Amino acid sequence: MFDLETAIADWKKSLTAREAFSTDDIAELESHLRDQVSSLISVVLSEEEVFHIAQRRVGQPSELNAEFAKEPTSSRWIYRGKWMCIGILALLFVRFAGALAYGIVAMGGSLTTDDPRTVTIIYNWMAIATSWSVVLVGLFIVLRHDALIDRILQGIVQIPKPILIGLPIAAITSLSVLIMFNMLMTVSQGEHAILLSFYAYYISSPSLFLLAVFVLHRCEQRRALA
Amino acid sequence: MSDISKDLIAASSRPLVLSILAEGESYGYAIIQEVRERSGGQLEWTDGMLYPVLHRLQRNGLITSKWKTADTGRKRKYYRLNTKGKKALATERQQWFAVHETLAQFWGPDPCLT
Repeated sequence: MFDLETAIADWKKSLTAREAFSTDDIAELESHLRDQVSSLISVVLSEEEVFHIAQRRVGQPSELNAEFAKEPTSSRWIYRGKWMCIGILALLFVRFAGALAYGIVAMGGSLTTDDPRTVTIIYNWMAIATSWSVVLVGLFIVLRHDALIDRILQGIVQIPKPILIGLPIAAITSLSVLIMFNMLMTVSQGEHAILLSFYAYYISSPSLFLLAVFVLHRCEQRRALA
Repeated sequence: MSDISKDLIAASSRPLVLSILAEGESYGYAIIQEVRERSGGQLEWTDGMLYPVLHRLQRNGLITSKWKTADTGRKRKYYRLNTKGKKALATERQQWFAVHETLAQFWGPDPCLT
């Protein structure tokens, strides 16, 4: 016995198996297929016949995949890659905010332990815990809520590019300067090695983020030209 | 008349979509119906071809999209032309008329059979 809902669900599954479609694309194509089905429904044709005609008109999954692959923003992996970059950015903010709060507390003198190394160890473990939780929660969201990401990214695309790129860079730079100043105040003059390693860490993270954005952007451009 | 070539259909898809959306917001299925109707069936678009065109126009910032629920309870993604899109349509219009005028000089006006 033919069931229209099952047939549509199977059809959607065959689209999901291909990588060119985002969840939003599939929802759009489904709405199209349903419109096509309702316009064909008549006394002469059965629901099954109507479904097959509608499916043929919308296009075979392989043909659709080829068409959708021409438009790089539809690709789920470009979306995910961008989302991961946003995740890295969020992670950086969490780290910076943590370091800043720690610096302020340390400078205020309200953090007193006999051994300053204990404080560093606690801080480092806390930093590791927060970074892991941010990454894991981010991955969970990316893999489970495709439609949500599509919507958020579509919103982000609307923001003018200078603001989109400039604002995070400005925020990271100003925070870095603040933290560097903080560390210069707290770390004693002799410990240049510690200072250097901290400095390298804070420089490398934003650089990595920018590199990732650049590479993704180039990939997108190359796909758009291909 | 033989079918219009794939290249010509692809090239005309952008001005056609922009022109349809200039008349008001619309969704994929309705846009395809509109093209079929207005062209008297001469322009046959494959359904899957339209969406990448719409998505590209959206990425270029010429149109915006929004999911809406129809009276029947079905969700549809509506596209709407924005100010940048209107400007792009005006440019397309000029360019297509320029091509048309040039060709008309060689071919003369449309032959009248009656």
